[in-house]
Amino acid sequence: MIRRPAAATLAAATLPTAAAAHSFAPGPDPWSQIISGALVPLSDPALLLALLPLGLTLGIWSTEGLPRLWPVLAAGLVTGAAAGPLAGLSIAFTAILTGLATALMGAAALAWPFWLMAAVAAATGLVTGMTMLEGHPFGSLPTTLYLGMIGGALLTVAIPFVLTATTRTVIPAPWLTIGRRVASSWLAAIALMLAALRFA
Amino acid sequence: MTRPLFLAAIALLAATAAHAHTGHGLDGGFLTGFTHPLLGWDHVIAMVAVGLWGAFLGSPAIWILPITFPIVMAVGGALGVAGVTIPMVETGIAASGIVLGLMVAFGVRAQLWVAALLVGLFAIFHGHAHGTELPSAANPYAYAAGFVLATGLLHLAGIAFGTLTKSPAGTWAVRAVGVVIAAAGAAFLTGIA
Repeated sequence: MIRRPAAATLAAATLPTAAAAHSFAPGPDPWSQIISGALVPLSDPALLLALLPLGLTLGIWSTEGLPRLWPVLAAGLVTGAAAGPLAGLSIAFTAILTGLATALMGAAALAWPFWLMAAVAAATGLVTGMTMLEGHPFGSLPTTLYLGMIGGALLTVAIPFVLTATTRTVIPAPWLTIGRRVASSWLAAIALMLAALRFA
Repeated sequence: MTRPLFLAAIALLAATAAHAHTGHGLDGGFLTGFTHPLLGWDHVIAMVAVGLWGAFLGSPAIWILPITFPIVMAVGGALGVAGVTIPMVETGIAASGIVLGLMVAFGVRAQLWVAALLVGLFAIFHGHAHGTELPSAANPYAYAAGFVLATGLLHLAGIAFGTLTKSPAGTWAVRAVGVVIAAAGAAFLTGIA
C-alpha cells in the first residue's frame, strides 16, 4: 500500500525539469497568455526598478517625454526579447544598474539632451527585454506571450509617466516638483540597495 | 476505528486559536523595513531634522537634502550589506541628532555644499545600520523598499513642519523642535535614552 506512492514520489523527484528564471505557465487561450506575459515585468523587482524610474524620469524631463520616445523604448524591448537567449544571469543586475542611473537622472532633473534620453530609453528596453526572456530560446513561447510582456513593460513605464506628466500640467505646485524628484531619489536608493544585495 | 476518531475529536475541541497571520511572516519584509526607521527614535529625530533644516535653508536645500540623504544612505546600506565595517556607527547616529538638531535650533544658514556634505556623512551611518540587518531579512528587497520609503516620509514630515518658518512664531516653534532633537540625540549618545 505504501510502496506504490513512495515509488511514484521518488520517480517524480528524480525527474525534475530544467529550471528557468522566469518560467511561464500560460493558459491555452491567447488572452490568458497576454495576461501572463504582462505580469512578468510587474512581478520582478529588477524589472520594476528599471522600468519605473524610466517613466518617472521621462515625465520629469518633459510632459511629452514618453510620446516622443516610446518607439525607441519599444524597439529596445523587441531587440532585447530577441537577444534574451544570449543573456546570462547577470542581466538582471544590469537592469537594476540601468534603473539606478535613470533614477539619478530623474532626481537631478537637469535639462538632459534628447539623444541621451533616447539612449536611456533604448538601453532600458534592451536590458528589460533580455531580463524578461533570459534563457528562453526565441520562438519557444507563444507570440501572444511576447506581446503581453512588451505591453506590460510599456504599461509599467507609462503609469509613472502619466502620473508625473499629469501632475506637472494639472497641479503645477512647487511641492509636487520636489516630490517627483524625491520619489526618483527613493527609487535610486532602493535600486542601489538591491544592486548591493545581488552583488553580495 | 473509534479510537482515532475519538482522539481526533479531542484534538479538534482542544485546538488553540489559529495563527495563520500573526505578523511573524512579515519579519524581514516590507512592513519590518518600513517600521524600522519609524520605531527607532534615534533614526526618527535625525530624519525629521533633515527635513526641518532643509525647510529652514529654503530652496534649493529644501529638496537637495531629502534627495541626498536616501541615496547616500543606500551607499551606507550597501557597505553594510557588503560587510564593510564602519567604526562608531551608533555614535554617528546619535551625533546626527545632536548636530542636525543644533543646526535647526540655531537656524544655521550653512552653504549648500556644507549642508549636503554633513547630511550625507550622517546618512552613511544610518544606512549602514539598516544595511547590516538586510542580509538576514526574509525578503531583503521588500525590506529595502520599506525602509527607504519610511525614511523619505520622515523627511517630508520634517519639511511639512518646517514650512512653519514662514511666520516668526512658527520659526520659534521649529527652533524649539531643534532643541528637543539635539537633547534627544545627546540622551542617546550618553546612554540615558
